[in-house]
Amino acid sequence: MAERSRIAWKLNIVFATIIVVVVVVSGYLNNMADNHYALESAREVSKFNSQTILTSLRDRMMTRDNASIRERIRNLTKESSFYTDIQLVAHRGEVVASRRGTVGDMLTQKARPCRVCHSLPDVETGLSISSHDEVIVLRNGERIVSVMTPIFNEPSCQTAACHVHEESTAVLGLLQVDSSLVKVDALISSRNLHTILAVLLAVGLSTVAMFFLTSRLLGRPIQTLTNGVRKIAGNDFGFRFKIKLNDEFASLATSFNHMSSRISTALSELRNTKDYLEGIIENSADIIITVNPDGFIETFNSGAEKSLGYQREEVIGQRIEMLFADPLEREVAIRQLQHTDNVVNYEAHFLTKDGEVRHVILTLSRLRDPDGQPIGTFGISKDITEEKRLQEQLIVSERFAAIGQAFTGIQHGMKNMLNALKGGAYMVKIGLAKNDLEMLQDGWAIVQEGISSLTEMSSHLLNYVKEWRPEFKQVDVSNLVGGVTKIFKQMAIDKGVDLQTRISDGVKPVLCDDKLITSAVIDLLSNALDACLEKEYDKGETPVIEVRVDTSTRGEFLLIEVQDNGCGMSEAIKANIFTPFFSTKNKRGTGLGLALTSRVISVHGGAIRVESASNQGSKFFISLPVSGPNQDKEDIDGEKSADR
Amino acid sequence: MAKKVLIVDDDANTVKFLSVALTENGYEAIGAFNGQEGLQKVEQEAPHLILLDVMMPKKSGFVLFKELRRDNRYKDIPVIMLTGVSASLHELEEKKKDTFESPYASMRDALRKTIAEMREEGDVRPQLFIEKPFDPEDVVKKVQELIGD
Repeated sequence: MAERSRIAWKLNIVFATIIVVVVVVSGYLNNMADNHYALESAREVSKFNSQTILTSLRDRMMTRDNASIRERIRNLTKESSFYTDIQLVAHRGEVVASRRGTVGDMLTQKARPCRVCHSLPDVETGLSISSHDEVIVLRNGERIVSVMTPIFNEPSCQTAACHVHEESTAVLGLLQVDSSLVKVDALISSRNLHTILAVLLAVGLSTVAMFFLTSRLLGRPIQTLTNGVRKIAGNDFGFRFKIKLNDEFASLATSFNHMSSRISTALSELRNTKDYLEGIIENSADIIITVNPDGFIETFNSGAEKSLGYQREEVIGQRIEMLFADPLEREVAIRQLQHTDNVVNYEAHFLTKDGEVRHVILTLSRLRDPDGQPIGTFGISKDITEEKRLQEQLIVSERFAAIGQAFTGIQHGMKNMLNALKGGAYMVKIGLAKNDLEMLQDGWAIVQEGISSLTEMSSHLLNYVKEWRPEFKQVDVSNLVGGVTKIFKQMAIDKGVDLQTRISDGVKPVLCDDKLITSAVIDLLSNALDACLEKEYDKGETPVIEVRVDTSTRGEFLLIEVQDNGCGMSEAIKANIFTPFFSTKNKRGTGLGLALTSRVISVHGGAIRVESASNQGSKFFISLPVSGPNQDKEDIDGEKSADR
Repeated sequence: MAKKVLIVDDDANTVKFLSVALTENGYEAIGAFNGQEGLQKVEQEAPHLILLDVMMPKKSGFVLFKELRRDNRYKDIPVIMLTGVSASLHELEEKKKDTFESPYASMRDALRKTIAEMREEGDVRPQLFIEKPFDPEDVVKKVQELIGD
């Protein structure tokens, strides 16, 4: 409650203070004025009384009837308690009459009744004042007003019967009348009391009235507004104020209603969007999981339930590692995430509730709040177990296909070669029969060619099938390539092909088997030559083969590049060129050349790659590690020791 | 006058020993090393028969064959196709699907397609398929069967 009317309370206290100050100050000032007036009135009355007493004593003073004067003064003081003292002092300071027993005393000029006039400069020549009065507080605390009236030397005095006062004497004495202020003071104190009571009443009434008004006009509307705001803060956006009056509060409430209706609309739109997005996430067939920064699962969609066999209640709040077949996989992904905020297409293995391993492709994103603070991880995983299984099946079937292909390839090669042998043998037969030496020689040449083709094929086959023992040594590959191209140069010129060689300076020796590398380079060059012969060149275009030897930028690889502008390859052919027994050269090819070359390069820890398009020429790249096949060496040694 | 036989094969040896065999048996042998050259020779020499290899660079045997069959001047020239792929017409028609996927499969597909097209277009098929390896004398016998001595 205290909290609810805090503003009204503060206003009340401020206003009450102001009222108290105003009322108290005005009451005080008013009372002061009244008191002053009462005192002044008492003084005036005392002065008048004093004058009256003096007049009544005039005749007695003319006759110097001091006894009668004393009698009169005694009567006066006796009759009225109003007079506390009346004292008549003669010219020289002698007390002529007094209520107290001081008659006959001689007063000095410093004594109280004498002091005022004797301090004036004109006391000898004539006084400018007709009387003097002062308020005195007695020892018992009672206040009196004391009026001193000088008795001037009038002309009648100079001719009085009793005595003669010289004209030069201005003042003949004084009359002192002390009157009690008891009644006045009583009046003042009663007035003071009334004033205090009035002030208290005024303060009390006005404070109460103000409290009532502030709480009614200010407190209640504020209270209502506060309650309304509380409701909205508590998500009750349907709340609206009832507007009765037409004041500032009403306009505030109208604005407020407007605002809350807009918030309510915006909120429902937001809710719709949220529902929509959540629906997408929930109904996705992919596994969608969010994890808080401490690694605990926060959300788990139905795709995840389906794929992993868990109900979300079973996993929410559990550690995410429980879903990984190998928790290290998650660790690695999270490490990557620290650098990039995104890990895309990370292959991982999830464990289902039944303990089955699901192969997934995982994309992780770090979730951040608007200040950039991480608030968790969002992961979408695609279950590719089935795809992987099919892929493996495909590999197996491809392996079978390769075997079949190998047989077909061998058969095909053999057919061509046997054809040559049969033809050659026929010519030999005719040559012998007709004794035609030339025919015999031609036929024999064909037979020999057939034999050498068969030999080459069987050696290729053997090479392909057998285990190799490459002999690694430091080889100057630029020399090697130079030698091979020299052999091919003439052959190329004969067939109208321009063979160019570009060997960079400072190519370092490479740890490799020179025979194997030579065979690889020969294979690429003869392929390039064949490709040039296959193509029909447009006018102005001539067949060109370029061989380049270079070192990689950081010097750890040797690069051999063989480029031709020959017939090139379709995508289908390109995809198969390293496949054994795949050949586009039906008569001559064994289909093993590039298959062997790619094995040679991989034994050296290198790589071979091709760029080509139909009729656009081909470009083969070989990269060989200068320091030899670091990792593969062990395997080769291993093979050796196994052989022993 | 000796009958002219055109041999179209990219393998020089085959052209050579077939020429010998044909010449020995009284034919005039003409050689061509690819499809394009083969067409030129057909135009120049007007052969009585053509021995046509299927797989050749620049223009395959089948392409040349189809061109010849569509040309009124040459459509009646008998053609014997020489093939290294085990692809006799009979076999191609019987075997709808290969047991193994292989680079040769596409070639077989091409052959099959060509034959099917030829059938649809009502073309005359090649007179004969001879599969490699063959004896030159056998080839000569087939030539004799088709066009006589």
